[in-house]
Amino acid sequence: MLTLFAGINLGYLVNLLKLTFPFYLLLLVIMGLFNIEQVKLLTHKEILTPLFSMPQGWPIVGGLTFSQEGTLYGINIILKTLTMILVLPLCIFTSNINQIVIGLVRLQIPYKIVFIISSTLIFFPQLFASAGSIIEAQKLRGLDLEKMNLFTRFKVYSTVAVPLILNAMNQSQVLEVVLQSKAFSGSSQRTYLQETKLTSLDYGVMASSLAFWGIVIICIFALESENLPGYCTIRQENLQF
Amino acid sequence: MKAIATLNKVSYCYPNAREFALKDIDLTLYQGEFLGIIGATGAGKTTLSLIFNGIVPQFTAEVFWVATVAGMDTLETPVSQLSRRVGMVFEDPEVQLTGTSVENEIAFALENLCVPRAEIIARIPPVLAAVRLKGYEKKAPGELSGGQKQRLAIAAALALQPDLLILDEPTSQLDPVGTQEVFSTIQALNRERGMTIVIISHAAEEMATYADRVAVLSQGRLIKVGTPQEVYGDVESLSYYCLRPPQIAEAFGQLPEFPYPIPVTLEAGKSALRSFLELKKPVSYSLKNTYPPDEAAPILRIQNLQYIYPNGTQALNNISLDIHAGEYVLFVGQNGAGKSTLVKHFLNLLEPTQGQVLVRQRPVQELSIGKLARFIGYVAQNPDNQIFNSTVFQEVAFALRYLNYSPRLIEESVTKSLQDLKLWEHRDAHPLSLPKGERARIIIAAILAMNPEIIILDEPTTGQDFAGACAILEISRKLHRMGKTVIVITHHLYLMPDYAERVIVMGKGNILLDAPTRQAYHKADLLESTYLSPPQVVWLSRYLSNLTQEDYSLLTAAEFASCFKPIN
Repeated sequence: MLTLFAGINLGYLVNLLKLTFPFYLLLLVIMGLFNIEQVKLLTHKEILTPLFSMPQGWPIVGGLTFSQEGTLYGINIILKTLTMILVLPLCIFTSNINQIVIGLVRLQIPYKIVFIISSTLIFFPQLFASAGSIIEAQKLRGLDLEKMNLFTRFKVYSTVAVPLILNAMNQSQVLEVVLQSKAFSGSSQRTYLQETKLTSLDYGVMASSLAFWGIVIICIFALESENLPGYCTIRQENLQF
Repeated sequence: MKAIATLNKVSYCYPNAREFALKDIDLTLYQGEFLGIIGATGAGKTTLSLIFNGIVPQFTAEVFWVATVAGMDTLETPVSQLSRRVGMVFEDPEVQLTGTSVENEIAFALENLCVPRAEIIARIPPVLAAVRLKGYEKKAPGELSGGQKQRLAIAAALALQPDLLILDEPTSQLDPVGTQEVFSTIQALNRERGMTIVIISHAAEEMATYADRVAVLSQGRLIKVGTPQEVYGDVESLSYYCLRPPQIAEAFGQLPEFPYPIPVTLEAGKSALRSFLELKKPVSYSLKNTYPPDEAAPILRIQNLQYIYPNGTQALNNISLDIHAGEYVLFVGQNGAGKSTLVKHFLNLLEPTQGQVLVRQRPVQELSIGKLARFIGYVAQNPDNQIFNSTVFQEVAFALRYLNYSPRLIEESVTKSLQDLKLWEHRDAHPLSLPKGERARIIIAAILAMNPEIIILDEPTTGQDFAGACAILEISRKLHRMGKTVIVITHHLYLMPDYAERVIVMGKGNILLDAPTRQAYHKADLLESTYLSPPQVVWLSRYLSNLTQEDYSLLTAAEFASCFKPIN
């Protein structure tokens, strides 16, 4: 939600969800059907509440019961991973890369590593653009990916990697020369055009988030003593999301 | 004159290479001069340029030389120190920009050199003014046009306040507007600020106009250094080294009994023509009409096509156009004029906002991607994005396997296609082990293996040297003679009059002109209005028409020469 409010392209989020959806479905099924022992242990219950049963005749899943607790646990894991995935675009798209760079440098992280991070951030959009034009080139050779079966499609997709990697390697060689000619040595001894100053707003945000997490952690411990860990973790994730 | 860099018997061999990239180069560079370096692909031009800032011997190999730049030995001085004195601008506008904004790009090298922040801030405005990019400080480099990106790269190099500025093919990926921007910027730096310039470029016309001296490299050896007049005027030896002379020199080089030194710039050409006319009268030139009207149904019909990008930019504005079977059509215009967008509609890669494209009277949307690819072959710009396999043979056969060709048919069509493009002896080589010109031919071979009726070449000559460009255009001519419909998109007008029959000029999503080549090339004012420059022979023949009060609509150097030849 927060990610959406921050004005990040909706299409990007939809794509992200599309990409991760199969994994989540798989997670949900596994948790609901198979992960009986761990869920029992976590909820301290002997018998799980059944939601529905699979018909006997089905292979693998035949006769298994889809449990309510397992489903909740699955949703919990999904929310956890989603938080991690969504925090990244929130951070990258809403901040100026220069500010991130200088922030990291002031955290005493070696400039070499900071430079790798910042050039990765610049490099990725370029990589996607070049992957797009490679796929277009394949279409131009008459390869209709939409009409292929999954196996052939995968085989064709894997060939995209060849020009992608070779081009990237080629570019990195050029980049090496470019950086040398710009006196880049990777040493942390350098000056910066931008300055980051922490304003009172920044301090306020930091303090309030610290306080928030403090309260959450206290809540967890308080609730844990009441033997409701499953409920608690789910609540916590909802808060984050 | 004060020498700013001296190379004394410089030889260099890359690690693991069998042959020397440079051999016994002696070259002195003087303060404030504008030196052009020319040579075919693989002649060692880039290696030579990297010697000046000391990067080349860093990848140590067999080195035995003395090279000094601004009084420093390039072998003993660290690159970071040399980089203060030598600014570099590279070919690819994308790769060389590492900053996140225009001002950060300029600051990057200065930051690396620990220049204090106040000093960096003070240096940014003057260099932006020098390349006319004031007001762009906060923009991201990605938002700039190609010409602006290269100017930014020049600004970043200037911020170091170097003694010497080296540009390695800075315009080869730019459209004519961008090329003009870059050359005029460099010229102003050289003339007004006395900056020493070394530039590697295939743009012969510009080099002849701007350079003080031109150096010719071939296979790692320095063949010749001289004034543009001395180098470009020697048309014969240029062609021996596979280099293209300015068209003016080519035209005068073919004149029989031309008593003066061969002019290399348009201005010199005009005055040479004036004096030559006093010696010899030209015969009148009869125009052949090479453009037969076509009554048959068009192979490709575009009806009221309009396309608006998702962000609201109107890319195509109500375009209607017929292309007939067997035509050779040239699409020209600046980047962003809508050429590629239009062509993508032929292949159903974009869905029109309005209007439609008919292929043999059928809307393209009705045809599958596979069918369309077998009917229209499109050779996209960057060959390196289109190579997926480990041998040339497999590369050409790649798509056929998925198009359900029988093994025998694959074998046959691939063999034929490879032989047609003279790639048969390379069939087992890795595509990327071949030079750029041949890589482009592999892609053409892969497209031709599907035997399409229409072949579209998108900027086939970009990044190719003269020999490579000619080889590709010869293929297009061959295809045309076989009865195929050929469509070429290009900026390089001077290469095309021998090949194209019809020229379509596009600008801002509209068709500005659709005419037979000769007529189109002589609409010089219209071409200029969209920053395309007609070849020098066109200007020369207009001048000739003015002087003689006769109509000379000449297109090529050979036609110009034929006006002065005795009729056999």
